[in-house]
Amino acid sequence: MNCDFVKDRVELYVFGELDFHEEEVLESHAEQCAHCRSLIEEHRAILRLMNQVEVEPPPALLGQCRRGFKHHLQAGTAVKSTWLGQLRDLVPSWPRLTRPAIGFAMLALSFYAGRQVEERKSVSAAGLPTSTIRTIQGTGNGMVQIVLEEPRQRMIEGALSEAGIEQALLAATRQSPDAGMRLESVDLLRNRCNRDDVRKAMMQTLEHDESPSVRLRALEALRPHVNDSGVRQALTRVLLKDSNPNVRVQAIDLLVDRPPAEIVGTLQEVIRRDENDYVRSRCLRVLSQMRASPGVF
Amino acid sequence: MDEAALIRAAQAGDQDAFEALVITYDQQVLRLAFNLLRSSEEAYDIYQEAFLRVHKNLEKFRFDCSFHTWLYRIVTNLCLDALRKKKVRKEEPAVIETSDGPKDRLELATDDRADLDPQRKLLSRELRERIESTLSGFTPRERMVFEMRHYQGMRLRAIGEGLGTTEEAAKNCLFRATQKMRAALGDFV
Repeated sequence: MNCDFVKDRVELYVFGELDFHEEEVLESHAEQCAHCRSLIEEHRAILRLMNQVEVEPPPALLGQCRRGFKHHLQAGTAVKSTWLGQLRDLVPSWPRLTRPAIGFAMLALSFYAGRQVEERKSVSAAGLPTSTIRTIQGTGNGMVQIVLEEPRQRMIEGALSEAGIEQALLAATRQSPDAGMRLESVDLLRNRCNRDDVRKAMMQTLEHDESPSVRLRALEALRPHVNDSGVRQALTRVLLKDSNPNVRVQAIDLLVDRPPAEIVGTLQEVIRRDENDYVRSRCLRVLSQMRASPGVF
Repeated sequence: MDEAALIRAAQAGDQDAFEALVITYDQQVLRLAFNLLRSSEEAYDIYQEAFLRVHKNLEKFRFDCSFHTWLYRIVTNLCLDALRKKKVRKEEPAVIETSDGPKDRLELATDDRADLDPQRKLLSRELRERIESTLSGFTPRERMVFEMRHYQGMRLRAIGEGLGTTEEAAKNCLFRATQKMRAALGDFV
Protein backbone atom coordinates (compact mmCIF):
# COMPACT_ATOMS: atom_id res chain seq x y z
CA MET A 1 0.00 0.00 0.00
CA ASN A 2 1.38 3.37 -0.96
CA CYS A 3 0.28 6.90 -1.77
CA ASP A 4 -0.80 5.87 -5.29
CA PHE A 5 -3.63 3.84 -3.76
CA VAL A 6 -4.98 7.01 -2.14
CA LYS A 7 -4.30 9.15 -5.21
CA ASP A 8 -6.32 6.78 -7.41
CA ARG A 9 -9.30 6.68 -5.10
CA VAL A 10 -9.48 9.98 -3.25
CA GLU A 11 -12.15 11.38 -5.61
CA LEU A 12 -14.53 8.56 -4.73
CA TYR A 13 -13.45 8.42 -1.09
CA VAL A 14 -14.60 11.98 -0.37
CA PHE A 15 -18.03 11.08 -1.77
CA GLY A 16 -18.18 7.97 0.45
CA GLU A 17 -18.29 5.74 -2.62
CA LEU A 18 -15.50 3.28 -1.79
CA ASP A 19 -16.35 -0.15 -0.50
CA PHE A 20 -15.69 -0.96 3.13
CA HIS A 21 -12.35 -2.66 2.51
CA GLU A 22 -10.93 0.07 0.25
CA GLU A 23 -12.03 2.78 2.64
CA GLU A 24 -10.39 0.97 5.55
CA VAL A 25 -7.11 0.55 3.66
CA LEU A 26 -7.13 4.17 2.52
CA GLU A 27 -7.83 5.54 5.99
CA SER A 28 -5.14 3.35 7.57
CA HIS A 29 -2.60 4.75 5.14
CA ALA A 30 -3.79 8.34 5.53
CA GLU A 31 -3.39 8.11 9.30
CA GLN A 32 0.31 7.55 8.79
CA CYS A 33 0.82 9.88 5.80
CA ALA A 34 0.55 13.66 6.11
CA HIS A 35 0.75 14.10 2.32
CA CYS A 36 -2.32 11.91 1.74
CA ARG A 37 -4.23 13.54 4.57
CA SER A 38 -3.58 16.87 2.93
CA LEU A 39 -4.73 15.49 -0.45
CA ILE A 40 -7.99 14.28 1.11
CA GLU A 41 -8.54 17.61 2.85
CA GLU A 42 -7.94 19.44 -0.43
CA HIS A 43 -10.69 17.41 -2.12
CA ARG A 44 -13.06 18.01 0.78
CA ALA A 45 -12.34 21.74 0.69
CA ILE A 46 -13.14 21.84 -3.04
CA LEU A 47 -16.50 20.20 -2.39
CA ARG A 48 -17.21 22.77 0.33
CA LEU A 49 -16.47 25.50 -2.20
CA MET A 50 -18.93 23.93 -4.61
CA ASN A 51 -21.66 24.24 -1.98
CA GLN A 52 -21.57 27.99 -2.56
CA VAL A 53 -23.32 27.75 -5.90
CA GLU A 54 -26.23 25.63 -4.79
CA VAL A 55 -29.51 27.52 -5.07
CA GLU A 56 -33.03 26.69 -3.94
CA PRO A 57 -36.01 27.19 -6.26
CA PRO A 58 -38.07 30.32 -5.42
CA PRO A 59 -40.64 29.22 -2.82
CA ALA A 60 -43.62 30.13 -5.00
CA LEU A 61 -42.41 28.00 -7.90
CA LEU A 62 -43.54 24.66 -6.46
CA GLY A 63 -47.08 25.98 -6.02
CA GLN A 64 -47.11 27.34 -9.58
CA CYS A 65 -45.87 24.01 -10.94
CA ARG A 66 -48.51 22.08 -9.01
CA ARG A 67 -51.32 24.36 -10.16
CA GLY A 68 -50.07 24.29 -13.76
CA PHE A 69 -49.84 20.52 -13.71
CA LYS A 70 -53.32 20.15 -12.25
CA HIS A 71 -54.60 22.36 -15.03
CA HIS A 72 -52.81 20.32 -17.73
CA LEU A 73 -54.04 17.13 -16.23
CA GLN A 74 -57.64 18.22 -16.02
CA ALA A 75 -57.60 19.47 -19.59
CA GLY A 76 -55.92 16.27 -20.81
CA THR A 77 -58.12 13.81 -18.98
CA ALA A 78 -61.24 15.73 -19.91
CA VAL A 79 -60.47 15.31 -23.62
CA LYS A 80 -59.78 11.62 -23.06
CA SER A 81 -62.97 11.09 -21.14
CA THR A 82 -65.27 12.53 -23.81
CA TRP A 83 -65.96 10.69 -27.07
CA LEU A 84 -65.00 13.87 -28.95
CA GLY A 85 -61.46 12.67 -29.57
CA GLN A 86 -62.70 9.29 -30.76
CA LEU A 87 -65.14 11.00 -33.11
CA ARG A 88 -62.35 13.17 -34.53
CA ASP A 89 -60.33 10.02 -35.25
CA LEU A 90 -63.21 8.59 -37.21
CA VAL A 91 -63.70 11.59 -39.51
CA PRO A 92 -60.95 10.93 -42.09
CA SER A 93 -62.47 7.57 -42.98
CA TRP A 94 -65.95 9.00 -43.54
CA PRO A 95 -67.23 10.09 -46.98
CA ARG A 96 -66.18 13.63 -47.94
CA LEU A 97 -69.75 14.97 -48.18
CA THR A 98 -70.60 14.13 -44.58
CA ARG A 99 -67.59 16.02 -43.19
CA PRO A 100 -69.25 19.47 -42.89
CA ALA A 101 -72.07 17.96 -40.87
CA ILE A 102 -69.60 16.09 -38.68
CA GLY A 103 -67.60 19.28 -38.31
CA PHE A 104 -70.66 21.17 -37.11
CA ALA A 105 -71.53 18.37 -34.71
CA MET A 106 -67.94 18.42 -33.36
CA LEU A 107 -68.13 22.18 -32.85
CA ALA A 108 -71.31 21.78 -30.81
CA LEU A 109 -69.79 18.90 -28.87
CA SER A 110 -66.58 20.88 -28.22
CA PHE A 111 -68.65 23.71 -26.76
CA TYR A 112 -70.51 21.26 -24.54
CA ALA A 113 -67.31 19.43 -23.55
CA GLY A 114 -65.58 22.74 -22.80
CA ARG A 115 -68.36 23.67 -20.40
CA GLN A 116 -68.03 20.26 -18.75
CA VAL A 117 -64.28 20.74 -18.32
CA GLU A 118 -64.79 24.17 -16.75
CA GLU A 119 -67.37 22.78 -14.36
CA ARG A 120 -65.11 19.90 -13.38
CA LYS A 121 -62.20 22.28 -12.78
CA SER A 122 -64.11 24.47 -10.40
CA VAL A 123 -65.51 21.50 -8.48
CA SER A 124 -62.00 20.09 -8.11
CA ALA A 125 -60.49 23.40 -6.99
CA ALA A 126 -63.21 23.95 -4.42
CA GLY A 127 -62.51 20.49 -3.02
CA LEU A 128 -58.97 21.42 -2.03
CA PRO A 129 -58.69 22.09 1.69
CA THR A 130 -56.60 25.24 1.18
CA SER A 131 -58.39 26.72 -1.78
CA THR A 132 -60.38 29.01 0.49
CA ILE A 133 -57.40 31.40 0.78
CA ARG A 134 -56.47 32.87 -2.56
CA THR A 135 -53.93 35.59 -1.74
CA ILE A 136 -52.43 37.28 1.27
CA GLN A 137 -50.84 40.68 1.15
CA GLY A 138 -49.69 43.17 3.76
CA THR A 139 -50.89 46.66 2.88
CA GLY A 140 -48.84 48.65 5.39
CA ASN A 141 -50.07 50.30 8.59
CA GLY A 142 -50.42 46.84 10.10
CA MET A 143 -53.28 45.96 7.75
CA VAL A 144 -53.65 42.78 5.71
CA GLN A 145 -55.71 41.91 2.66
CA ILE A 146 -56.75 38.28 2.31
CA VAL A 147 -58.67 37.09 -0.72
CA LEU A 148 -60.83 34.07 0.01
CA GLU A 149 -62.48 31.73 -2.43
CA GLU A 150 -65.72 30.30 -1.15
CA PRO A 151 -66.26 29.51 -4.01
CA ARG A 152 -66.23 33.07 -5.36
CA GLN A 153 -63.36 35.31 -4.40
CA ARG A 154 -64.05 37.64 -1.50
CA MET A 155 -61.73 40.15 0.07
CA ILE A 156 -61.43 40.64 3.78
CA GLU A 157 -59.36 43.44 5.15
CA GLY A 158 -58.37 44.24 8.68
CA ALA A 159 -55.68 44.75 11.25
CA LEU A 160 -53.30 41.96 12.10
CA SER A 161 -54.67 42.01 15.61
CA GLU A 162 -58.18 41.09 14.42
CA ALA A 163 -59.01 37.50 15.23
CA GLY A 164 -60.29 36.60 11.75
CA ILE A 165 -57.17 37.97 10.05
CA GLU A 166 -54.78 36.26 12.42
CA GLN A 167 -56.62 32.95 12.12
CA ALA A 168 -56.50 33.16 8.32
CA LEU A 169 -52.77 33.87 8.41
CA LEU A 170 -52.17 31.00 10.82
CA ALA A 171 -54.19 28.69 8.59
CA ALA A 172 -52.20 29.79 5.52
CA THR A 173 -48.93 29.22 7.39
CA ARG A 174 -49.94 25.66 8.17
CA GLN A 175 -51.95 24.61 5.14
CA SER A 176 -51.24 26.57 1.99
CA PRO A 177 -49.65 24.50 -0.78
CA ASP A 178 -48.07 27.72 -2.08
CA ALA A 179 -44.72 28.36 -0.38
CA GLY A 180 -44.84 32.04 -1.39
CA MET A 181 -48.08 32.46 0.52
CA ARG A 182 -46.69 30.65 3.55
CA LEU A 183 -43.64 32.92 3.45
CA GLU A 184 -45.81 36.04 3.31
CA SER A 185 -47.92 34.78 6.23
CA VAL A 186 -44.84 34.06 8.34
CA ASP A 187 -43.49 37.54 7.61
CA LEU A 188 -46.74 39.18 8.62
CA LEU A 189 -46.98 37.18 11.82
CA ARG A 190 -43.36 37.56 12.87
CA ASN A 191 -43.99 40.44 15.25
CA ARG A 192 -46.79 38.57 16.96
CA CYS A 193 -44.68 35.69 18.26
CA ASN A 194 -45.21 36.87 21.81
CA ARG A 195 -48.61 35.19 21.49
CA ASP A 196 -48.47 31.47 22.34
CA ASP A 197 -50.53 30.28 19.37
CA VAL A 198 -48.48 32.30 16.88
CA ARG A 199 -45.19 31.14 18.40
CA LYS A 200 -46.39 27.53 18.26
CA ALA A 201 -47.36 27.96 14.60
CA MET A 202 -43.88 29.36 13.88
CA MET A 203 -42.22 26.43 15.65
CA GLN A 204 -44.43 24.06 13.67
CA THR A 205 -43.40 25.81 10.44
CA LEU A 206 -39.75 25.75 11.47
CA GLU A 207 -39.83 22.03 12.07
CA HIS A 208 -42.20 20.81 9.39
CA ASP A 209 -42.50 23.20 6.43
CA GLU A 210 -41.25 21.60 3.22
CA SER A 211 -39.57 24.77 1.95
CA PRO A 212 -36.18 25.70 3.48
CA SER A 213 -36.86 29.39 2.74
CA VAL A 214 -40.06 29.32 4.77
CA ARG A 215 -38.34 27.42 7.58
CA LEU A 216 -35.54 30.01 7.63
CA ARG A 217 -38.08 32.83 7.80
CA ALA A 218 -39.85 31.14 10.73
CA LEU A 219 -36.49 30.74 12.42
CA GLU A 220 -35.86 34.47 12.01
CA ALA A 221 -39.28 35.24 13.47
CA LEU A 222 -38.41 33.18 16.54
CA ARG A 223 -35.04 34.91 17.07
CA PRO A 224 -36.34 37.34 19.77
CA HIS A 225 -37.83 34.38 21.65
CA VAL A 226 -34.74 32.23 21.77
CA ASN A 227 -34.86 32.11 25.56
CA ASP A 228 -38.26 30.42 25.47
CA SER A 229 -37.69 26.78 26.39
CA GLY A 230 -40.12 25.54 23.71
CA VAL A 231 -38.28 27.53 21.03
CA ARG A 232 -34.91 26.22 22.19
CA GLN A 233 -36.19 22.65 22.09
CA ALA A 234 -37.55 23.20 18.58
CA LEU A 235 -34.21 24.68 17.48
CA THR A 236 -32.34 21.72 18.95
CA ARG A 237 -34.56 19.29 17.04
CA VAL A 238 -34.01 21.32 13.86
CA LEU A 239 -30.26 21.24 14.38
CA LEU A 240 -30.36 17.47 14.66
CA LYS A 241 -32.92 16.68 12.00
CA ASP A 242 -33.35 19.41 9.37
CA SER A 243 -32.32 18.29 5.89
CA ASN A 244 -30.99 21.71 4.87
CA PRO A 245 -27.48 22.72 6.02
CA ASN A 246 -28.35 26.46 5.93
CA VAL A 247 -31.22 25.93 8.33
CA ARG A 248 -29.01 23.84 10.62
CA VAL A 249 -26.28 26.51 10.58
CA GLN A 250 -28.80 29.25 11.42
CA ALA A 251 -30.13 27.09 14.25
CA ILE A 252 -26.58 26.81 15.63
CA ASP A 253 -26.13 30.59 15.47
CA LEU A 254 -29.37 31.18 17.29
CA LEU A 255 -28.77 28.56 19.95
CA VAL A 256 -25.26 29.78 20.75
CA ASP A 257 -26.25 33.43 20.84
CA ARG A 258 -26.53 33.05 24.61
CA PRO A 259 -25.18 29.53 25.04
CA PRO A 260 -26.29 27.62 28.11
CA ALA A 261 -24.36 24.54 29.18
CA GLU A 262 -26.86 22.04 27.76
CA ILE A 263 -26.11 23.13 24.18
CA VAL A 264 -22.70 21.47 24.41
CA GLY A 265 -24.21 17.98 24.27
CA THR A 266 -26.29 18.84 21.20
CA LEU A 267 -23.30 20.32 19.37
CA GLN A 268 -21.20 17.27 20.20
CA GLU A 269 -23.96 15.07 18.81
CA VAL A 270 -24.11 17.14 15.59
CA ILE A 271 -20.33 16.76 15.15
CA ARG A 272 -20.76 13.02 15.50
CA ARG A 273 -23.79 12.66 13.21
CA ASP A 274 -24.04 15.50 10.70
CA GLU A 275 -22.96 14.69 7.14
CA ASN A 276 -22.22 18.28 6.21
CA ASP A 277 -18.61 19.40 6.75
CA TYR A 278 -19.53 23.05 7.10
CA VAL A 279 -22.15 22.39 9.78
CA ARG A 280 -19.68 20.25 11.72
CA SER A 281 -16.93 22.86 11.45
CA ARG A 282 -19.35 25.53 12.70
CA CYS A 283 -20.13 23.38 15.74
CA LEU A 284 -16.42 22.80 16.34
CA ARG A 285 -15.76 26.54 16.27
CA VAL A 286 -18.54 27.25 18.77
CA LEU A 287 -17.37 24.49 21.10
CA SER A 288 -13.83 25.80 20.90
CA GLN A 289 -15.07 29.33 21.76
CA MET A 290 -16.90 27.82 24.71
CA ARG A 291 -13.71 25.93 25.62
CA ALA A 292 -15.68 22.69 25.45
CA SER A 293 -14.49 19.39 24.08
CA PRO A 294 -15.76 18.39 20.60
CA GLY A 295 -16.01 14.74 21.66
CA VAL A 296 -17.78 12.79 24.38
CA PHE A 297 -15.57 10.82 26.75
CA MET B 1 -51.28 3.64 1.76
CA ASP B 2 -47.79 2.46 0.79
CA GLU B 3 -46.16 3.50 -2.47
CA ALA B 4 -46.90 0.30 -4.38
CA ALA B 5 -50.58 0.56 -3.43
CA LEU B 6 -50.60 4.22 -4.48
CA ILE B 7 -49.09 3.34 -7.85
CA ARG B 8 -51.61 0.54 -8.43
CA ALA B 9 -54.46 2.83 -7.48
CA ALA B 10 -53.12 5.54 -9.82
CA GLN B 11 -52.77 2.95 -12.60
CA ALA B 12 -56.41 2.06 -12.04
CA GLY B 13 -57.34 5.71 -12.59
CA ASP B 14 -57.48 7.01 -9.02
CA GLN B 15 -56.60 10.69 -9.48
CA ASP B 16 -56.05 11.34 -5.76
CA ALA B 17 -53.50 8.51 -5.63
CA PHE B 18 -51.71 9.98 -8.63
CA GLU B 19 -51.60 13.42 -7.02
CA ALA B 20 -50.22 11.87 -3.83
CA LEU B 21 -47.44 10.25 -5.89
CA VAL B 22 -46.63 13.57 -7.56
CA ILE B 23 -46.49 15.41 -4.25
CA THR B 24 -44.14 12.78 -2.82
CA TYR B 25 -41.51 13.44 -5.46
CA ASP B 26 -42.16 16.80 -7.08
CA GLN B 27 -40.02 18.88 -4.72
CA GLN B 28 -36.94 16.78 -5.48
CA VAL B 29 -37.68 16.94 -9.19
CA LEU B 30 -38.08 20.70 -9.14
CA ARG B 31 -34.93 21.21 -7.07
CA LEU B 32 -32.89 19.06 -9.46
CA ALA B 33 -34.24 20.85 -12.54
CA PHE B 34 -33.83 24.33 -11.04
CA ASN B 35 -30.31 23.78 -9.79
CA LEU B 36 -29.24 22.34 -13.15
CA LEU B 37 -30.97 24.86 -15.39
CA ARG B 38 -31.02 27.91 -13.07
CA SER B 39 -34.25 29.15 -14.61
CA SER B 40 -37.75 29.09 -13.16
CA GLU B 41 -39.31 28.83 -16.63
CA GLU B 42 -37.19 25.87 -17.66
CA ALA B 43 -37.61 24.13 -14.31
CA TYR B 44 -41.38 24.67 -14.64
CA ASP B 45 -41.36 23.14 -18.12
CA ILE B 46 -39.34 20.14 -16.96
CA TYR B 47 -41.75 19.61 -14.06
CA GLN B 48 -44.80 19.71 -16.34
CA GLU B 49 -43.32 17.51 -19.03
CA ALA B 50 -41.92 14.98 -16.57
CA PHE B 51 -45.15 14.44 -14.67
CA LEU B 52 -47.27 14.47 -17.82
CA ARG B 53 -45.04 11.68 -19.15
CA VAL B 54 -45.42 9.84 -15.86
CA HIS B 55 -49.18 10.21 -16.11
CA LYS B 56 -49.25 9.06 -19.71
CA ASN B 57 -47.00 6.05 -19.18
CA LEU B 58 -47.86 5.01 -15.65
CA GLU B 59 -49.90 2.06 -16.86
CA LYS B 60 -46.71 0.69 -18.47
CA PHE B 61 -44.83 0.80 -15.15
CA ARG B 62 -44.32 -2.86 -14.18
CA PHE B 63 -42.41 -2.52 -10.88
CA ASP B 64 -39.20 -3.75 -12.57
CA CYS B 65 -37.40 -0.95 -10.71
CA SER B 66 -38.40 1.49 -8.00
CA PHE B 67 -40.81 4.26 -8.93
CA HIS B 68 -38.12 6.75 -7.90
CA THR B 69 -35.68 5.26 -10.42
CA TRP B 70 -38.31 5.20 -13.16
CA LEU B 71 -39.27 8.82 -12.48
CA TYR B 72 -35.63 9.93 -12.40
CA ARG B 73 -35.00 8.29 -15.79
CA ILE B 74 -37.69 10.54 -17.22
CA VAL B 75 -36.51 13.66 -15.39
CA THR B 76 -32.80 13.22 -16.05
CA ASN B 77 -33.41 12.59 -19.76
CA LEU B 78 -35.41 15.81 -19.97
CA CYS B 79 -32.74 17.75 -18.05
CA LEU B 80 -29.92 16.31 -20.14
CA ASP B 81 -31.75 17.31 -23.32
CA ALA B 82 -32.25 20.82 -21.95
CA LEU B 83 -28.58 21.07 -20.90
CA ARG B 84 -27.38 19.85 -24.28
CA LYS B 85 -29.65 22.17 -26.21
CA LYS B 86 -28.89 25.31 -24.31
CA LYS B 87 -25.41 24.63 -22.94
CA VAL B 88 -26.99 26.26 -19.93
CA ARG B 89 -23.93 27.18 -17.98
CA LYS B 90 -22.52 29.26 -20.82
CA GLU B 91 -25.77 31.07 -21.48
CA GLU B 92 -26.83 31.65 -17.92
CA PRO B 93 -28.15 35.13 -17.24
CA ALA B 94 -26.26 37.29 -14.80
CA VAL B 95 -29.46 37.73 -12.82
CA ILE B 96 -31.20 34.84 -11.13
CA GLU B 97 -34.62 34.69 -9.50
CA THR B 98 -34.77 34.19 -5.77
CA SER B 99 -37.44 34.32 -3.11
CA ASP B 100 -36.38 37.94 -2.49
CA GLY B 101 -36.65 38.95 -6.13
CA PRO B 102 -34.01 38.98 -8.91
CA LYS B 103 -30.38 39.02 -7.77
CA ASP B 104 -26.95 38.95 -9.35
CA ARG B 105 -26.11 35.26 -9.44
CA LEU B 106 -22.57 35.90 -8.27
CA GLU B 107 -23.84 37.82 -5.26
CA LEU B 108 -26.50 35.26 -4.54
CA ALA B 109 -24.54 32.99 -2.25
CA THR B 110 -21.68 35.28 -1.41
CA ASP B 111 -19.83 34.08 1.62
CA ASP B 112 -21.33 36.15 4.45
CA ARG B 113 -18.04 36.02 6.32
CA ALA B 114 -16.55 38.13 3.53
CA ASP B 115 -19.12 40.89 3.90
CA LEU B 116 -17.01 43.11 6.07
CA ASP B 117 -13.75 42.64 4.22
CA PRO B 118 -13.53 44.05 0.65
CA GLN B 119 -10.46 42.00 -0.19
CA ARG B 120 -12.17 38.78 0.84
CA LYS B 121 -15.31 39.82 -0.99
CA LEU B 122 -13.27 40.29 -4.17
CA LEU B 123 -11.66 36.91 -3.65
CA SER B 124 -15.08 35.42 -3.07
CA ARG B 125 -16.33 36.89 -6.33
CA GLU B 126 -13.32 35.58 -8.23
CA LEU B 127 -13.88 32.20 -6.69
CA ARG B 128 -17.52 32.13 -7.68
CA GLU B 129 -16.64 33.08 -11.24
CA ARG B 130 -14.12 30.27 -11.28
CA ILE B 131 -16.73 27.83 -9.95
CA GLU B 132 -19.23 28.91 -12.59
CA SER B 133 -16.62 28.52 -15.27
CA THR B 134 -15.70 25.07 -13.95
CA LEU B 135 -19.33 23.96 -14.05
CA SER B 136 -19.69 25.24 -17.59
CA GLY B 137 -16.69 23.08 -18.50
CA PHE B 138 -18.53 19.93 -17.42
CA THR B 139 -20.24 17.85 -20.05
CA PRO B 140 -24.02 17.57 -19.50
CA ARG B 141 -23.55 14.05 -18.14
CA GLU B 142 -20.77 15.09 -15.75
CA ARG B 143 -22.92 18.00 -14.63
CA MET B 144 -25.87 15.69 -14.06
CA VAL B 145 -23.91 13.08 -12.11
CA PHE B 146 -22.19 15.71 -9.97
CA GLU B 147 -25.52 17.40 -9.27
CA MET B 148 -27.21 14.15 -8.29
CA ARG B 149 -24.32 12.97 -6.09
CA HIS B 150 -23.16 16.18 -4.45
CA TYR B 151 -26.30 18.30 -4.18
CA GLN B 152 -29.04 15.65 -4.17
CA GLY B 153 -27.04 13.14 -2.11
CA MET B 154 -27.91 10.15 -4.32
CA ARG B 155 -25.65 7.09 -4.36
CA LEU B 156 -23.77 6.28 -7.57
CA ARG B 157 -25.72 3.06 -8.03
CA ALA B 158 -29.02 4.94 -7.93
CA ILE B 159 -27.61 7.61 -10.25
CA GLY B 160 -26.53 4.93 -12.73
CA GLU B 161 -30.01 3.39 -12.60
CA GLY B 162 -31.64 6.79 -12.98
CA LEU B 163 -29.53 7.59 -16.01
CA GLY B 164 -30.07 4.16 -17.51
CA THR B 165 -26.37 3.34 -17.29
CA THR B 166 -24.02 1.41 -15.01
CA GLU B 167 -22.68 2.44 -11.65
CA GLU B 168 -19.22 2.25 -13.21
CA ALA B 169 -20.12 4.78 -15.92
CA ALA B 170 -21.58 7.15 -13.31
CA LYS B 171 -18.41 6.69 -11.24
CA ASN B 172 -16.25 7.63 -14.24
CA CYS B 173 -18.32 10.78 -14.83
CA LEU B 174 -17.96 11.79 -11.21
CA PHE B 175 -14.24 11.05 -11.32
CA ARG B 176 -13.73 13.29 -14.37
CA ALA B 177 -15.86 16.06 -12.89
CA THR B 178 -13.86 15.99 -9.65
CA GLN B 179 -10.57 16.15 -11.53
CA LYS B 180 -11.78 19.17 -13.51
CA MET B 181 -12.79 20.88 -10.28
CA ARG B 182 -9.42 20.21 -8.70
CA ALA B 183 -7.58 21.56 -11.72
CA ALA B 184 -9.67 24.74 -11.66
CA LEU B 185 -10.05 25.33 -7.94
CA GLY B 186 -6.93 23.79 -6.44
CA ASP B 187 -5.28 27.17 -5.90
CA PHE B 188 -8.26 28.39 -3.83
CA VAL B 189 -7.92 25.75 -1.12
